[in-house]
Amino acid sequence: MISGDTNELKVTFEFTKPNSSGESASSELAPTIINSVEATSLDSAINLMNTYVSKEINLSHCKAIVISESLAASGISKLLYSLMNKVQIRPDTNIIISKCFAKDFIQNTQPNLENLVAKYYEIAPVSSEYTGYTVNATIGDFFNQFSCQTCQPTATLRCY
Amino acid sequence: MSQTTKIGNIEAIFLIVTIMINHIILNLPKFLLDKTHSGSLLNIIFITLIVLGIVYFISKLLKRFPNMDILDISEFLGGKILKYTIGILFMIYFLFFAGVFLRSFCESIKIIYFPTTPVMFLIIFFIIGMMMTNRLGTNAIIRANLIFIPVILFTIILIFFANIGNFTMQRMFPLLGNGIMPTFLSGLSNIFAFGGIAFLYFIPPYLKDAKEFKKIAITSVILSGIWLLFSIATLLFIFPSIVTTDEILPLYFASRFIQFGRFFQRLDAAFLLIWIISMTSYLSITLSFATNIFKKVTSFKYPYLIVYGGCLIVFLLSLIPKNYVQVHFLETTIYQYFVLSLIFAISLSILIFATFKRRKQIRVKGDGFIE
Repeated sequence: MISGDTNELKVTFEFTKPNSSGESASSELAPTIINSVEATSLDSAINLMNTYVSKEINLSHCKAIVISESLAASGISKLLYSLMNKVQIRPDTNIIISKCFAKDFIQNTQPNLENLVAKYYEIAPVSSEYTGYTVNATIGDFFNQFSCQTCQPTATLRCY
Repeated sequence: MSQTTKIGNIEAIFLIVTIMINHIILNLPKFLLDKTHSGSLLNIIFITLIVLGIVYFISKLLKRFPNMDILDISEFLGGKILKYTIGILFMIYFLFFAGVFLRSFCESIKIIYFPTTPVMFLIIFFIIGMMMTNRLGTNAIIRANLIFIPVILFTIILIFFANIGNFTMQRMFPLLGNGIMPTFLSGLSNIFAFGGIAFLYFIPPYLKDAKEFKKIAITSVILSGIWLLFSIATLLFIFPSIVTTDEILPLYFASRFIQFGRFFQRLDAAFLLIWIISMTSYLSITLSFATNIFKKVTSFKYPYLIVYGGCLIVFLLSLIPKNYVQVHFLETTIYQYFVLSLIFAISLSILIFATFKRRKQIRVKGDGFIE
């Protein structure tokens, strides 16, 4: 989750608390941890977060990347290449542009019908299959359109 | 490969296809796309036809030397010196590039799954695999290859068909890529992609039925061409900017797009597992042929020692490149020139001159050679 309120990147990570999904089989929302770090690049932000949480973050199950509208407007070419060069990030990861800062967006995203936030982020864009109001914008497609000389990349614009 | 080993048609075809498939899994399609861009599809069809012609010519020439491989023919043409030279060149081809491709594959696995593991450890696992399979013998390698190759071929087809939803077919245009000249003239050097036909020079003595050689050669080239076309088409239709992005295992990146609903996702791990087996099979085959050449050139009588020595050489050669950039340079540029000069120039010239010599002998001696 990336926003840009300073010259640096403000990267916010949201994790589901380990084992929380297994412990409570009830309908309670699985608790999440939201942490932010400011860094000059995505890689240094991940490194900082690795130090902070004392675990190595693996982005293989990253479900959504949220970029603030202000940062997107200023250009995200470098960031996009950093993301695509990460083997862990899968091409079907959803990309969302938020009207507010990414941190505010994820803090205020409270799914009512899903216990797991990760599942919510994975399923929500798929609603484009039965409604006409959303689009399933993945980072793979976004990057392909971004690199193509005759295409325009598109992503979901959302506000909380 | 011992002289008593005899291989059938399908086994021989799969031996040759193995080489091509492993190069497809590595960087070959990306290299071809870099060179001819959207003209790659036409280029592949064109070079497949050219190679078919060359292979047909080779089979015609080899007909005059029944049960002889390129080493025997070299000895016939230029004596022991030519035989040793060709033997050493082919040993370099098999062992050096086995080391380079092994390093390339291990570097890719390291990037994908083992970022903190030294690449040497990954290489050692493959070397142990090579050693064990070669100790079990050529029959074991060939039969194992016979089982695995259909699965490996299936993975490439699956990547193509499972990704159809992600294709942008318009990316094939302009059909001629950068123009007629780059596609058909400078693109002609892409015949190096069919480096697997090197085995054609060595298999005649091992075929159960030597008359089937032409059929084997042509079928293996057609199969290789089709699968190369599938892999090129997959990459071309999915990625608009393959040139500037992923340097490692382009087909792996294409496989990451595959998903069947929400339940069958992340199939790329299964693909990689199958390709690891494929790479082991490829390394085992090349080592088997290299040891066979060594035995033939030196008359060395301790096969296990040759296998251990070969494994050690491949291991050391794979450690020579300092980084992935050097590996990439070796596996594309150097490999290209080596294949073009050794397989398509030197070996073919030897066959042609040996044929002239044979004809001359027949004329002088009135030999009873029947074509």
